[in-house]
Amino acid sequence: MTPVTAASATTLPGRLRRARWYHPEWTVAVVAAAAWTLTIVAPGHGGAGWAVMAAAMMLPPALPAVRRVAMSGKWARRGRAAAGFAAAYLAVWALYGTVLLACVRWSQVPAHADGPLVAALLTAALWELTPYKRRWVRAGHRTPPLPPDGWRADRACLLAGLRHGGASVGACWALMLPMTVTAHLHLPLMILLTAIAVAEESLVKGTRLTHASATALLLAALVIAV
Amino acid sequence: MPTFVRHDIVKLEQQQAGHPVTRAYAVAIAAMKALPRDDPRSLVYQCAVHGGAVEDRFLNQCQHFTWYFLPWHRMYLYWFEQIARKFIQDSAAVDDETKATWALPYWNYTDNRPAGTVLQPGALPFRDVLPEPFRIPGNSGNALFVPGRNVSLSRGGRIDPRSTSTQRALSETDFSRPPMPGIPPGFGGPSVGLHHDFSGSQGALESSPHGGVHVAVGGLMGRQNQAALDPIFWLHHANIDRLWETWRTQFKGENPTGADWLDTDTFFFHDADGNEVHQTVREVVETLDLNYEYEDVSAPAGPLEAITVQSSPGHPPELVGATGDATRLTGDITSTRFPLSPPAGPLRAAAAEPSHVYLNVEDIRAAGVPDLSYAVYLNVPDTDLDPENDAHYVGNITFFGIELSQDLDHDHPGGHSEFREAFDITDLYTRLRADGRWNEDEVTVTFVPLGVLPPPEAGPADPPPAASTPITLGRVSLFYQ
Repeated sequence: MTPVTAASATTLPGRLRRARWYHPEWTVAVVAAAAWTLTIVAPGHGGAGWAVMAAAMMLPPALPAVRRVAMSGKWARRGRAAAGFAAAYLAVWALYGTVLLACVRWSQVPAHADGPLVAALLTAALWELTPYKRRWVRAGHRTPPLPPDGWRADRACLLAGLRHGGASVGACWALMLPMTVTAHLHLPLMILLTAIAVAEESLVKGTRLTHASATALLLAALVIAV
Repeated sequence: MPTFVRHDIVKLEQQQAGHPVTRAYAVAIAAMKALPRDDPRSLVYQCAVHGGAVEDRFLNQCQHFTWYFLPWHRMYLYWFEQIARKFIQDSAAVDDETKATWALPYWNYTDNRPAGTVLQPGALPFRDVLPEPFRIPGNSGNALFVPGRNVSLSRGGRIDPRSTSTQRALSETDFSRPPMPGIPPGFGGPSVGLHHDFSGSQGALESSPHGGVHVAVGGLMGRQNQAALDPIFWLHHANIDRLWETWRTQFKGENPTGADWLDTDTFFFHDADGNEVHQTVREVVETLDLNYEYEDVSAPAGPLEAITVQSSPGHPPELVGATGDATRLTGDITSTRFPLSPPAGPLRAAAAEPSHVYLNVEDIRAAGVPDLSYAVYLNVPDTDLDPENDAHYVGNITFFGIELSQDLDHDHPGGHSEFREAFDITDLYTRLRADGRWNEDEVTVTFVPLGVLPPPEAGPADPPPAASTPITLGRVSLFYQ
């Protein structure tokens, strides 16, 4: 046998190639970074702006799942599997955003008042303390195996993305409330909420962080209220 | 502090039926059973430490599907042994010598004598038969008996030798590997990093013989949250702890040396007086630091391959074939086949042969608590069990703890990931290729149920075999690296 040598692993191109091999989710990470840039530089409004913001905030916690899906499929399908899974995952978030924005408009929440933002943060803190939150997080810790080839593999990627998106919305729906009721970009809050989602969804002991997350959200509500 | 010696219960019972060490153990179990359930020294509480609905830093803490499996169970056994020894030393029914030297015995069940072997007078009893003191019914006041175990085993039947095989575990080269699709997690279980990784694999020793014996004994032993209520549980885990020493001392296996394994996590227990105690892995890697050793840590007889450490190929494994549909196991011999395609990644770019080949059984689900394990064969010429097939034997899939991987209401150390088994079949692949019997286009995987062989004397009223718990294998796949 002639094993593949890692002779070029010390050069920069070699390192980059190795990083691509072991992290096929890098394409989705680039999309998330682009979404962050767009949200900060040119924040959009309405459904499109919300979708870009959701991509920035909710793609990072999904990166381990994207990696898992891509690496367990055929090599030539890795990029396609990552794209299909991530697209279906974001579609679920977009659907939630559509419903959420409609509710906000219908209820005529005052866009420039602090009250709704504080209420949204308190809701998110309360959700962190429920057992349902932890159950949804656990539900997102499993991705199904995919058929190896053909349209069945594509369909399975999409279904896996939808299912993971469902679990993610189930766990983190309340974290998107504060960003929805504010009329302007609140960057520190966006960073805090993303950090909570990443920690809880992708860390090994994520479900044990819910009390700390609730405390952080309560403090944020307090700072804004004061 | 003296060094206590954990003895082989099969040899003890051969020396003297109802050996004082065994009888003292029964005294301790009876005392622990009599304590109220909220006493941390009671058997019910000790069982809840392993698994149960209530979780705190002491309870529901068993570390399965991670690289803490072996050290955590070493701690668990150590404190259980301290409690049991205290009750033995306080008992008037135990002689002074036993009080001074008692240590938890172990059940070494690996026995390669073929089915149908007739024991000559004076020969060692079959190791894979449940020791006699555990089989005498409880209506005679025997604290070591529990009802509900496998019927054949309770009547003196032998566990299928493949279920007690240590071959795959002891030939593992690494204690632990980071979780990655395709790759087996090593001897002791997958390393636990910062990130959740979506793959819930057992270490090789945890899978077999550990899981196989749990399932073969059945009853309480088959359920993770109740297993420690069966007194044989503790002797089974003493043997698993001993096999860790065997791997380390006889096969030059090396434990991890990083602080992430040795120091990061602290585990909590109660001592013999019910006081709270805690330990890290660093404190338990040497049994002599815990004042005990094993009577015998030599390797079981039978074929074993020497550890040959192979360098990492420097690229991830890639899928070359898999089933498109789930495979259902219902207690019969079942085969599945799937096409293979040439590698398309780094192996193709380098025009290289794979240096590692892995067979994976992924997304295993059970409709209940499984009562059988399965032996896995690759490209077996037919499905009978003639010796020819041994050359195609890959290993076992066992399902102990699978019910908890599907439980979303509680945290479990192994998480809620997919339940899977991964086998390094590089040697088998190489052998079949050399013999011209490797099919580059297709692979066939056969699953053979592993039960308990009935005892030689036919029972007068054997119940008919119950329908086996259905198992679903989401995907069977082959990876090249």
